[in-house]
Amino acid sequence: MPGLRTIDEQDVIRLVREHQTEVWRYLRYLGATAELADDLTQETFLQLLRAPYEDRGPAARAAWLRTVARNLFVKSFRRPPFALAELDTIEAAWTGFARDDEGQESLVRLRSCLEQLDGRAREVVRLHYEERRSRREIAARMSLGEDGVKSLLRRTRAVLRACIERHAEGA
Amino acid sequence: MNDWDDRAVDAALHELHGSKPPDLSARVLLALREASPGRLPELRPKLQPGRSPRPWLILLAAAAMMLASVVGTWALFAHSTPGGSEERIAMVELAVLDGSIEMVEARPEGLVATALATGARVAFAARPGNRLRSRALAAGRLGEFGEVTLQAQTELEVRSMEFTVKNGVVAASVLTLSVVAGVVTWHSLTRGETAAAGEVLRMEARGDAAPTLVAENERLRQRVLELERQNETLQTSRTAAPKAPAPVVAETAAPEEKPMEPVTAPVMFDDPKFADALGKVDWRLVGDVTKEMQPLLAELTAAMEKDGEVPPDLAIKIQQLNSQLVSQLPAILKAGLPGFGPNGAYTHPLFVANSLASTLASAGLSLDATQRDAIAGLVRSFSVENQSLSDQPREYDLEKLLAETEMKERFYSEVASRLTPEQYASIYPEGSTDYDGANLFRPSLMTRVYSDAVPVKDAADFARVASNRLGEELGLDEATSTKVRSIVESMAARSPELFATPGNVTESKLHMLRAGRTVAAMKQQIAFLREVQRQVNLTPEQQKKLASLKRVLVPLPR
Repeated sequence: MPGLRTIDEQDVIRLVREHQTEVWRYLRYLGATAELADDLTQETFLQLLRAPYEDRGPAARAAWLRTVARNLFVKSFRRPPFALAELDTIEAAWTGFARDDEGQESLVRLRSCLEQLDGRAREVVRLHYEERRSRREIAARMSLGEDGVKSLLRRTRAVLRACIERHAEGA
Repeated sequence: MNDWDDRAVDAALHELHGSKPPDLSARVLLALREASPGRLPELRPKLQPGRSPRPWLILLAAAAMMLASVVGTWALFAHSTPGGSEERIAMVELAVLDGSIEMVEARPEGLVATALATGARVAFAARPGNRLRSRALAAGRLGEFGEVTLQAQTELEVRSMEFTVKNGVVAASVLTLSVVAGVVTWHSLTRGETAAAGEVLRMEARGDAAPTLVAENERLRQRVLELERQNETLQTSRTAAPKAPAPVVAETAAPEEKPMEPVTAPVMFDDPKFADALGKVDWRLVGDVTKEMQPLLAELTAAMEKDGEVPPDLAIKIQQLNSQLVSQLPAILKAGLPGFGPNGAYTHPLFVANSLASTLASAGLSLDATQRDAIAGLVRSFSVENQSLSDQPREYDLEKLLAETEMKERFYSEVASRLTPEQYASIYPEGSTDYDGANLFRPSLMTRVYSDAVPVKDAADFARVASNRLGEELGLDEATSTKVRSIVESMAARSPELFATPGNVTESKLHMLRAGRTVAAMKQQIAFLREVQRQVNLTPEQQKKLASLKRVLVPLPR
């Protein structure tokens, strides 16, 4: 809603609905819990609506919102959760995943890639993400060390990421 | 794939398995409306440099607006700085409970110091740099953050104020004060902490402020109306009726045997060294309040276990009673009873025995002569042990805390064995010994001030948090921190019992840990501090800091 001067209730709702998914996903990506992501997403929009802000369209607004969200997330820790030097990497990884649709397409592809998993990779995803088992429990069930579970999860995610990218290139 | 690519897939997998983005539009709208009851804000162009700051705006959410109408408890303001950024400032009600407190605030006209005497209630701007001072021992209440006791020559400076947004309500949640000089102790319903010069005190506001204060508002209104009515009645009767004679107290003849006489204001268990100060404690009040508070504390933990929430009325009642006990704290501290921290004095055998006698008397279950003699003997011998522990030098401060805790545990147990079943039930209501802080006759009153619950997944997770904290406290470099971590991890792995029982809602929300957790964690921490000292090359300054650590990191398994 470029050029907007005075906003009414419907504008606020539209604005929030337009960007909330990306802000929330971005906060989860940074490492916020779901509850913290809820609170910080809300605070991010309040800052946008309260602060003097020159609106330059949806893309600039989205970038502004991500910056505010990231600052709020960092402020919620006593010590910064990541180094400032990492900011470029953080942004690049996010935009690579979210592209220009808040990550919606990547999620759809991820679902399809998940179906292609089998064996231990499929099992570890089920135990960790679906059943929310601790690493120790998973290690016991799969006869692995806890470090082994960590490595298996990471390898599985790398496979999934590669699969998402293959789909994207083929699209 | 780098770490952040990995995180993106991780977050997406969590989302596919249930963690969905919510629709927050209603919450945002609600928060905006609460902030500004008029028309909604505008999206404006950037402020031009040199533009004058906007006037103070009340930004507050419903909770704080209601608070302002109570007794000026506290309010939040958003202040636009010349740079255009907003600075939120909380106005916290400062009530002086005992002694004198000086408030120093930065105002446009310069630094303004205001001396406040007992009974004063003012709004204190909790803005970084503003200060509170005491020349002599003093106690005060800082709005929703609870009571503070300032030792003589103490000076505190506001370092920061943190805000949270919960369900659309902006609220001041944590007030951090730097202790410039002296010693300060903070007490609230669920937390307590002591900090000395050079340390920092983080005071957390009581949760659910809005509903509790609405109820408190209503209660105070009713009380004012009631007092006004009483005043009118008294005025009328004073002018109409002749002065009534003073009631005659019949002096009963002392029987041969020692009677079951009620304990009133006098000190029952005395010590010439502390007689003056103990005589200044209002033991009747201590007894009445403790008797009333004990079952409520048990009720509190029961309510948390059942519903996961603190009933607001119950929280208010406990907080009010607690404030009355805290009002006696300066007198107790003036007595100079030896002990670890301020609650060390509160749990000193001499204080405990008098408090117990007053509580039982208030319940109509006074100690008989045999019990008094037996407990007097225990008080004498344990007071000697207490003094000896206090005088004995230890390598680590935590060793001193542990030794005193174990001694007091034995004292409470010995005293309890002298009580009748009715007396025991009155002092230890069912369920009141399950959690630290849920009973006023347990040494956990002393230890919980220093316990710091750390929610963790397992021993390795605990090692990570503990070594980070230790690294921060001691100023360790990355390599040394890693070494500390491996020591803590290997020692934590040898204590699986610390990670066996998952933390429950009472522990995580009320910070009332299950009985036994803190002492077990303290023992382990002393062991790993010793091992760190042995294996890690620390500077003399770091060794000094290590020895004076007082926080006990208590693992709270998720």
